[in-house]
Order: sequence, then C-alpha cells, then structure tokens
Amino acid sequence: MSVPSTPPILGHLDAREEGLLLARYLLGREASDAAPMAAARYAEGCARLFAGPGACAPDDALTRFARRHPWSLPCLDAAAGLLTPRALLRQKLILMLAILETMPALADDFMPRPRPRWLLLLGLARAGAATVLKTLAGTVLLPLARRAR
Amino acid sequence: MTREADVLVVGSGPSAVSAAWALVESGVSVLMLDVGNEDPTYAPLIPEASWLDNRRSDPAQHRYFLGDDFEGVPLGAVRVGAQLTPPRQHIARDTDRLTPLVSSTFAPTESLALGGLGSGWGASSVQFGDADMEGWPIAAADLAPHYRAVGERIGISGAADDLLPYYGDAAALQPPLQIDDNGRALLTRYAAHREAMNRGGLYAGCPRLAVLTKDLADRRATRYHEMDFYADTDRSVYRPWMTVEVLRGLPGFSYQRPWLARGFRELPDRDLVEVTARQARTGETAVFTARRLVLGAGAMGTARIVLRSLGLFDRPLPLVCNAHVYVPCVNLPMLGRPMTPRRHGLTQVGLVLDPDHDGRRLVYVEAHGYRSLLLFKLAKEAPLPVPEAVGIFRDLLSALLILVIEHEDRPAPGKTCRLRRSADAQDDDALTVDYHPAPGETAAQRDAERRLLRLVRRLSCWPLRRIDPGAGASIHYGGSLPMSLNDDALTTTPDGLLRGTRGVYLVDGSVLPSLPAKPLTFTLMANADRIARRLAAGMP
Repeated sequence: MSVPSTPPILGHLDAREEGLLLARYLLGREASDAAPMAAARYAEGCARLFAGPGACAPDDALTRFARRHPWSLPCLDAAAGLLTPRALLRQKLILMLAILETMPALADDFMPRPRPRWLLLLGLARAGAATVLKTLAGTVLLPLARRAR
Repeated sequence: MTREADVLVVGSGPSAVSAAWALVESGVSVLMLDVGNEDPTYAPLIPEASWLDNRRSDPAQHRYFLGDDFEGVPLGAVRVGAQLTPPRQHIARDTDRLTPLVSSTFAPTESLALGGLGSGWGASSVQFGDADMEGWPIAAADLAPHYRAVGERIGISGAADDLLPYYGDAAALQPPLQIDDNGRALLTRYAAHREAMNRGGLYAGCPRLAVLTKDLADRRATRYHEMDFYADTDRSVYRPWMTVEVLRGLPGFSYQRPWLARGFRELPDRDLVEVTARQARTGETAVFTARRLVLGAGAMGTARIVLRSLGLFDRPLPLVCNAHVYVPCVNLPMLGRPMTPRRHGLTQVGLVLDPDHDGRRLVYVEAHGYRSLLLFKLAKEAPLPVPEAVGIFRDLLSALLILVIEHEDRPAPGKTCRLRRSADAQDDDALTVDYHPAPGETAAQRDAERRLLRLVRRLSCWPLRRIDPGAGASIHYGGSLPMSLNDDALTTTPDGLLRGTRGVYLVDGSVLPSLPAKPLTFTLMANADRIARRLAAGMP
C-alpha cells in the first residue's frame, strides 16, 4: 500500500531543471530558444497542479529516480504509461508536453505529419518496437525506482 | 432595478431565451433573471484567426489553450465536461456552490452562465419525429412550425440527404458546411456501400448544425477557423447569449443578474406570482413579481425551484439522460494524407443506426475530427511512452475520427432526483440523484454499439477503444416534471403549465417525458417557442 506523503517540494530552480530534462526527453533534442520559457511555465504549472497533498511516497521516489538518472526516463515513462498511468511522473510529462505544444516555435513538432503510407507504417512499426523494448526494461526498473531513496 | 414584468423568465439557456424571444415578439414584457456568468479572462485574448495561425504565431496561446491555472490540462480520468476548454469553463462555474448536487452514480454538468449550457453546445439541430415522441402528449406536427421559426432565427445549415428522415424538414436550411477530407472519405465509402449499410440500418450524411454558411443579421458565415471549442469570434455558431444581446436592445425586455431564482409563490387573491432570488455574489435576497412565471433553468435547476417552492423535500422526481460514449477510430483511407487546413471544429459527419428500420430505438452518432483539442490530451490516454504516443498520433491525426454515440433514455424507477435539506443550514438544500439503469438496458446499448461498430468497420474505419465518461456525461437531461395528459401532481399540461399552479410554466428539458437518442437542444428551443406563444396568446 502506498503511504501518503508530502509531494516533492521543488524550488523554482529545481523545477526548471526538471522541466528542461523533460523537455529534452519529449522533443528528442534541446528546445533551444523556447527552453527557458518552457521551463519557467513548467515550474509555474508544478506549483499550481502538484502543490498540496496527493502524491504518495513511491510516486515521489519514481520522479526523483528519473531526475537523478535521466537515461532511465524512457523506460520508466513506458512502464508507467502501461502500469500506473496516473503516476506523478506521467502527469509531469503530460504537463510539459502541453506547455511545449502551445509554444509557437514548436508548433510544427505537434502538427499532423503527412507522408507516404509505407513510411508511416514503418514509423509505426519502429514506434511499436521501441515501446515494447522500453516497456520491458521499464517493467524491471519501475519497482526498483519506486523503492529507491 | 426592474422588479416587475408581465412574465418573469428564469435562466438564459436555449429554452429560456427562446421563450423570452417569443414573448417579446408577441408584445409581452419580460424580465429575465439569471446568474449570467461570463468569461472575462480568455475571450478577449483569442484572435480572430484560424487555429493553425494561432498555433504558429500567437505567443499568448498557452493562456487560452491551457488556462492561467493550467485548468485546461486534465490529469485525471476522462470525465464529464472533458471538452470544456479554459475559455468555456465559466459554463460550469459556481454550480458546486450555488446549485449543489449529490450523487455517486451521476455526474452532470449544470450551468449558471449567460447562455447556459448552450454556451458550449455542439450546435446539432435535428428535429424529433413522432417515433421519438412516443408517449408524449404532443406530436411532431405540433412542433413543426416552431422548429421552422427557431431555425430561421438561429440559422441552421445542412443537406437533404440520407439522414433527412431522421433529421426532419429541410425547407429552411442554409447550405451545408464544408466537410473535411477525413469526413469526406467516410462518406465516400458510405456511398460505395450504401445499400449494404442501409440494409444493416446505418445511414450517414452531412451534419445539421446551427452554424451559419451565409451571413444572418450581424452574424457572419463561418470562416472555418476551427476555434469552435474556444471562441465565438465570428459568431457563426449560434449561442443563446446572442439572443439575449438582441433582446436587451428591445423595449419590453429587462435582464437582471446575478440573481439565482430560489422559489416562487402565487399570491392567493391576485393574478401575480412572486419569485424569491438570491444575489449570487452577496447572498442578498430580493423578490420579483410578474403575472406569469416561465422556468427555463434546466431539468435539474427547474426541479430544484419547483420542489423547494412547494416544500416537497425528499419527494422523488424522474430524471432521464442520454447514455453517451466516445469511440476513437482510425479512418484507414486517410492514413498518411494531409489534413484539411481550413475546417470547422464541430461534427463532420452524422450517422444514425436504425436497427429495426422503424425509426425507434435509434443510436445517434456524430463523427468529429480531432486536432483543435491538442495532442497532449490524446497522449495522456495512450498506454505508451509519451514521445512515441506523440509520434503515432501525429501520423494518425488526419485519419482520426472520434465517434460520439448517444442512446435514448426513458424514465425508470432507478432514475430519480430529490431535493434534500442541508443538515447544517436550514435554508439550504441539495439535489440528490440516484441513477441506476437496468442491467438489460445497458446490455442492449452495448449490443447496439457492437452492431454499429461492425458496420463502421466495413467503411474502413477502425475503432480503437470505447471511452465511457459515465452517467450524466451527455449533458442532455430531462423528464423531471414531464408534460402529461394525466392530471398528476408534479407534471405539466401539454402547454407547459405546472399542474396545481395558475401561472407557472416550464419550458426546459424538465417537461420532455423521455429523451430519444437525438440531441435535444433544438427541440427544447422549439418547444419553448411553442409554449411561450400559447402563453402570450392567452395572457389577459
């Protein structure tokens, strides 16, 4: 059973760093000029949405683990998406995604992508394979990360 | 402040404004009492530009897409009102505080906004036929002239196609809206398999929407800006507040807010009715007087006022609400193709399943494209790593169709609402709703959905999953004080007069004895127009 606790208290600076990490993961690259603004909005969003009781200890641990070990983020995201879709880490990813999506400089990263059907199917197959691998690795990693101090 | 009129109208939603319009047009003075919440924050920020232009160039877009408090980033499960974007969230504001509702089985959206729930409706404007009104004390012919009058006033676009028998008279329609490529691909496949589809009971065509394709008075034809979930900048989609705006310029009409009507009392020796109202901000109480009262506060709002006025606490009233699910589908012929740049954001294609080919037990379906509600909401629902989810949805977006499926609802012993006094405050109360459809009813709905989706698959449109946001989600409520020929208490006459009163008329969903699968708003407006014109004609 998860033990209710105070959610991670992040200073604005910490939250900004976390935001940059998540933005880099979501875009697959640095968000360049948009990054500082996105990180600032992310910090504001965290303060509004995640301040107050609600998170539980394993949730905190998972987020902390992902911050300390950025390489684990894709696997933890994949496993959490399947097993604990309302986990704090997923919620923070969705918040950052919403922020990035509504920045004019990044608009085209989120627009429909017309392309030949064979390329589309290839892309879907690649995404499917990547998801399976990440989820498998994440399923092993997730319980460890949720228990990490 | 005006406190007297010939008729006092409570509410400013589709029914209330339609009644007020008909009364004022008939020369009767009207005082409209309303809480009248508006959105002062986001509406002024939204440029009159297309969704694409806003996305690519407006640096303030995060404010109206996400909200200043990130209220547009829903992090929980899909819930009632999920489609309410930050600029539309004022629609449900203050309802928890001013019109509390208790239920573990029913999660409705009520409104105290100027324009009521009509401030966010999807604009579907189809007519009820005799099969839809089975068991009602009025027939489709009684509503026909009122559908036409309301249709001409608000402007409805559509076509006379295969859905004509289900959507009703097409005489006063504006030309149909342009359908996006995704919707057109679905209709093309339907045309190719029309005979088989019709044999299976499925019919498809252009949606019928209260969206202008030709200018009407000061409202302009749609510019296909796809901002329909956020703004009314070109006023092409009809909203009831537009009628209030026109009425406020006419003699004989007065609009008073922010007043929440609490109860009425007919004066024994005089032909007058008094309405007690509470100022929504200060809590101050005032009394308004009129010769007749018209309640248009919604099926549940009107039930509260009537039960409180008659002192009938704990007395159950029936309540009906369309069952409603979403089914996202991939329209295979559209895979890899570009998305229509200029489109509107509402229903692209209408579908009706008529399982027994007799117009009864219909399943009503609206097919929407998905773009303007943003990708992050889809990514949240996908059990995938977020970057992969974004990539996949970018690939699928042009082919994604969201089917919104509605089922009929009829009164039953397990579907009731009652007013209960609050334990801690003597003058406060809450509406309690118990909503338990019979197991057979739910099973029949699932069967009908399976049949529908089998046919939809044959149109190369592949369902991904079924999302049930729960009872109350359709935002279509009715039946609490139904029209009836029987002289029963807590019913109304066919002309909307609340039995046991001399001059209290109900014009909203409360008087509809049942809800067919079709959207009810256009019928609410037509019926309110009918009741109000009869009331005006009979006024001494």
